[in-house]
Amino acid sequence: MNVRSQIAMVFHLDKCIGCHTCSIACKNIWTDRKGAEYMWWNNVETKPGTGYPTKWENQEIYKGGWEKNGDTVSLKGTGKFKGLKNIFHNPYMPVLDDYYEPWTYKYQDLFTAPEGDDQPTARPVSLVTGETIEVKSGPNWDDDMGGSPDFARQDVNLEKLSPAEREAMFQLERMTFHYLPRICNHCLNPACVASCPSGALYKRGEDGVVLINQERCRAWRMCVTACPYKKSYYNWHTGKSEKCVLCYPRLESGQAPACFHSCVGRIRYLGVLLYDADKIERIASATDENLVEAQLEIYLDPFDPEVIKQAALNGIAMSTIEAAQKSPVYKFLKVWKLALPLHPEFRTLPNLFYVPALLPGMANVQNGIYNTTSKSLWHGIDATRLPIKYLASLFSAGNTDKIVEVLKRLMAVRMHRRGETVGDLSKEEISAAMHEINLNGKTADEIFRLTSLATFDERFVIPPAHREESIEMLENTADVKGNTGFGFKERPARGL
Amino acid sequence: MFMKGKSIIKTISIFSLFVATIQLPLAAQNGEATFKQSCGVCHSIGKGKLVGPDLKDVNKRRSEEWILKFVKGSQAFIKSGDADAKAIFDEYGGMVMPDQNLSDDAIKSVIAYVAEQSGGAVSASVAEATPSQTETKDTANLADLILKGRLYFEGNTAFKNGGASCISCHNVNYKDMIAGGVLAKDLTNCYARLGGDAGISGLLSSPPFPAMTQAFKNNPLTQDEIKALSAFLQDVDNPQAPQTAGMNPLLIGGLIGFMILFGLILLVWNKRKIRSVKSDYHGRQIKTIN
Repeated sequence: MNVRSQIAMVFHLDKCIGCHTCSIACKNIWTDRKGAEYMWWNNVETKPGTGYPTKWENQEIYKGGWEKNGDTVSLKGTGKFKGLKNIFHNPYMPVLDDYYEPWTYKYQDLFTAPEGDDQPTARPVSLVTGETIEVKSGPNWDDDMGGSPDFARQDVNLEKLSPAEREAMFQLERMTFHYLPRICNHCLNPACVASCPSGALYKRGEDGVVLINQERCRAWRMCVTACPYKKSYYNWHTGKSEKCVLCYPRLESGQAPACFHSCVGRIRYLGVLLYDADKIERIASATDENLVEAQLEIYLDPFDPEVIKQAALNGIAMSTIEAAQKSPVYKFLKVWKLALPLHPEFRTLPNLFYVPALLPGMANVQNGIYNTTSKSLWHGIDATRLPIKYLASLFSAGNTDKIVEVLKRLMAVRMHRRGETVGDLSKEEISAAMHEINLNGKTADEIFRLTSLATFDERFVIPPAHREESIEMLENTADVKGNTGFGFKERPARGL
Repeated sequence: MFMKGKSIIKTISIFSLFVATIQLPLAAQNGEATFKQSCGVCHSIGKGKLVGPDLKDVNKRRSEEWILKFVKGSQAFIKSGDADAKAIFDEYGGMVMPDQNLSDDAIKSVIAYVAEQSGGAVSASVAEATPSQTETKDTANLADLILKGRLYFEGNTAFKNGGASCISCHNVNYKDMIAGGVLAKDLTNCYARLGGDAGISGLLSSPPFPAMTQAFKNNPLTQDEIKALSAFLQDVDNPQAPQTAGMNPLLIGGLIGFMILFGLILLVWNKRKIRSVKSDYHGRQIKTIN
């Protein structure tokens, strides 16, 4: 057993309102620079939709992620030979149009325009060329376009559906959408790290954050192709690639990353998971239908004395192990089994998990009356507006059982709380639902609490970074004692 | 006083005459050395045109000031708008005379030498001016010589003293020979331009062009090598020689290889991402600005 610690995340999609506050918080802190304007380290997509960059999920276009290769995995687009073959011209890279051409407006024209018959307008100008442009698309151009032919119907996940299922999905009564906020998954088996010819990418030992060393990056851009989530971006101004850093300077000082901190719907949870690094290769090469189950297996029980002992042997601080025991991510993922990874079939073992949205059941309106197709509003699992197959394509590599299980759990918690607070559901109905998935009232209450009422400290359990100790590895802090602190910029008139 | 003054003038004039008689041969002597070193390669005195014009009686045709200007910087002089200088430059096919780094005195001494020679060398036979015509060449040996020259030119045979092969800077259009350098003048027609064997061998034994002077300063060509090169250049200049530039196997091979390469690129990378994934709907968007 080779125990390591990893900062992992859960996004509760039922709570996401698609406000993009997370994206703006991230943009203001990290990517509001020349060459980085088009990057959205955090973005919010509408599903069904094509996403950002457009159709990023289609690895036949972008060749990202890993492929199962017997008992191991190999990179789909790059790697030793394929990478060498394409090292000077990588043919699968997204172009700027696949993202969008960033722009601003000539706001000054509003003030300086000469008097005329028409209102002055602020024309859009490209942030790349500085020229006036025709805005063709933006990073969330498919926002709320849940039934549109150009976006929703081009969703890559629809390929798993039969034409009839696809058509049914876009009937007026069934049309629906939900949001999917995305950041870097800080994967356990990161394809970007594996693809880099310069060795510029690395996974931090202490918390598993995947970073690009800006000194070593030589702009091969293999990581841009290799990352199946397209979360590594090339900065055309600096000639280096950049990606989400999980706000590690904030993490080190005990603050949640900016997108987590600013989340209006409080959908985000962050905590430590302990995992067994020896199992990565075996689990990454599991068969598609077992991928989700296998990935859960790699995360270890932080209460197990053997795990604690091995973790301590690997140099994991006791404070980190304690944080892992309090981790909300561990609860959602392992204890309650409510969270699922996004596109596990990319085989990168992502560390960002999603609680799928419990979408409304099918219904139609007749004579102004809302009729559900199921017996009651609470039995809509089998008739969700989005086909289970569609959700399975997103979160479980096609394993529909997993999706049904999670949705049933979510529904059981709701029924339980409805029974507690409103009391209009029969006891038999609730206990049947709870019994089906082995959920007791106490656990359901805990799920409810962490979902709806959790405080900052419950949602973000950040292990101490022990910076006071780490600096002692580099220098003797006693040497500079008295050299910093309170002083004078100018010599005072009296004194000294 | 008057007498005294007259005698002083007499003394001075006698003295100056004396100095002049001493000085003239001295200047002419220096002039001879300078002429041989710097001018003789391209110019003759009364023996006809070589690379440049025959300098016989040049002191009578041109003023001293004109000659000084031309020798020191012919191009600048031509650009300054002198019609005579331009006429000469055009007459010799735009062949640039290298600027000579000589003092005014040295040039004057050369003029003096030319003046002296112009008087005495009238009898020099005109026939001597084109020795290549009188020279008979063994045709069997000639083919060998041309081949040898070609090998020297292309650098397949190294020059004995280690000089750079001609092709590194010069080009000639000759049969299937690959194209040479473009750093210096094209030599295809140089044999006629430079006045045959005499011009070529004179030029090669002490090259007057600054770059060539530097290149062959420490590793001059031998007489054998010059002879071979001269024969080769004559053959190059021969308009009867079959010009096979159109059938150059290198060019055709290159073209075929190029097409095969591009075909392969199309095949190997036929699944590459060519267009933006958004081009479908970008194309349908209505433009609001022209």
